[in-house]
Amino acid sequence: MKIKHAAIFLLAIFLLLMAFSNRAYAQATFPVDTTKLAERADETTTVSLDKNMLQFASRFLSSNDEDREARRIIANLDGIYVRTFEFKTPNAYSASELEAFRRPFAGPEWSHIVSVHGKEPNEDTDIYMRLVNGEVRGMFILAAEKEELTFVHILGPIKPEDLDQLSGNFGIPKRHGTKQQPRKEDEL
Amino acid sequence: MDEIEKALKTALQREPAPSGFADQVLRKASMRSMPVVPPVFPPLVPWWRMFPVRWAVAGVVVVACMVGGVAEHARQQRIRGEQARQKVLLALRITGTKLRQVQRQVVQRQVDKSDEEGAEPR
Amino acid sequence: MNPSWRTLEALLDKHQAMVFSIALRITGNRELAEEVAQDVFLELHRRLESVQSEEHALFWLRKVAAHRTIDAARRTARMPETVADVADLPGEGNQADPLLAQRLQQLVAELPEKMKAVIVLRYQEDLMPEEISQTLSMPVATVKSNLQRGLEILRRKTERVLR
Repeated sequence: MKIKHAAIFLLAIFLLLMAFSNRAYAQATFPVDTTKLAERADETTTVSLDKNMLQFASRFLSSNDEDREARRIIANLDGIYVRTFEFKTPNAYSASELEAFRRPFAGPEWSHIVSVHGKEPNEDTDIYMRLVNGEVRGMFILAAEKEELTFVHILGPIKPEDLDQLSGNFGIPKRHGTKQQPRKEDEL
Repeated sequence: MDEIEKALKTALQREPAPSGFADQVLRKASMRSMPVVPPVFPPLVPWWRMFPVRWAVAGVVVVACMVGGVAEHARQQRIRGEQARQKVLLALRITGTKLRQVQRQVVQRQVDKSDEEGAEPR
Repeated sequence: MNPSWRTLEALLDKHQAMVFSIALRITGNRELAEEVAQDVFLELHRRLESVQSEEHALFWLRKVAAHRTIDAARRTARMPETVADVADLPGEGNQADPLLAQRLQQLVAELPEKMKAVIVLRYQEDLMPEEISQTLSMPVATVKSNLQRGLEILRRKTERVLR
């Protein structure tokens, strides 16, 4: 009987630890909860690549310039997680929601290195770096526009030259972003 | 027109479109206009009409399944790999776009600040 | 029967340089400019039957090229890293100040998108402010203000080169 109770107790502890570690892992991979945004968004883009997936993908990157740069950038990363939410109506999220997304990065581990606020409401960009023993071990970008909200979480060491590469020549796509929808101005 | 405006007219003269531009547009336009022709499949031959060769066919089918299984696995792996590659590129492109957006916002700030400083009375 | 000008081929022949140049000056990227310019002509092809005259086609092409390029430039928000990304130096009439032309191209490329579009339509396309206003669906006063501010910025930044 005692053994049975002990076994149940140990199982309960194990399950509890699993639950917490899963939550901790989820938090580490994506530190903000975007479920409500996803419910409201007209279009959502989700990319979740942990270390294994990055290493797997690396094998299939080709030798063209963009792929080579990508292979170099992701070589030491532990994960890349992107969430983009597009809304048909502007200002579909509030300033207080944005503040809530910023809160996890107020801690000592994160440095708020860029904060740009546009003239219009909901046109802000924030960039945070995670420093461990003086080394960059992660980056978080929150880019807010009237009809789009983007989160980028990169785990692992990011070098300044990687950022240069990303913000310079990297990834001007062959088909630039989403297809242009016909606009009122296009009418003849 | 002052000096800067004349200089702008010179600097902003029209550039010719890249060679082959018109051909490419015309080709794409004609592809969009082409009707889609559905594929035509030959009529199936009922298997019982193939009685004399059915055992050979069965053997071939078994071997083909085995080889096909391996090939199919490799194919699935390549598909998954290509999907992973596309995801990596998409993630890095989105990141690059947002970083460029910040750069642009910072430049806009500098332009606005220069304007304010220039507009201040001396 | 269709008049001879109302074919995609004829309109491409006449206006491809204009559309491509507008896209190039505003995006600062040749590849992107080519893509936008193609999209504009393909859109025109879809609507060809609705084009009423050659002038109408020209107006429509300018308008759509400007709008789509501004959108594309905002999406990519790329600043050209080298002047080679923008145009080559114009061949004629610029022997005196090749550096100034190069500098101006770079400075124009760094302006905010709408200001850039106003400058390009004024000095590349020779449009008057009222025409720019119709092309960009922008009040005339805003066009004039963007022109004035844009020129002030360019004057200040090229002062040394002009002396």
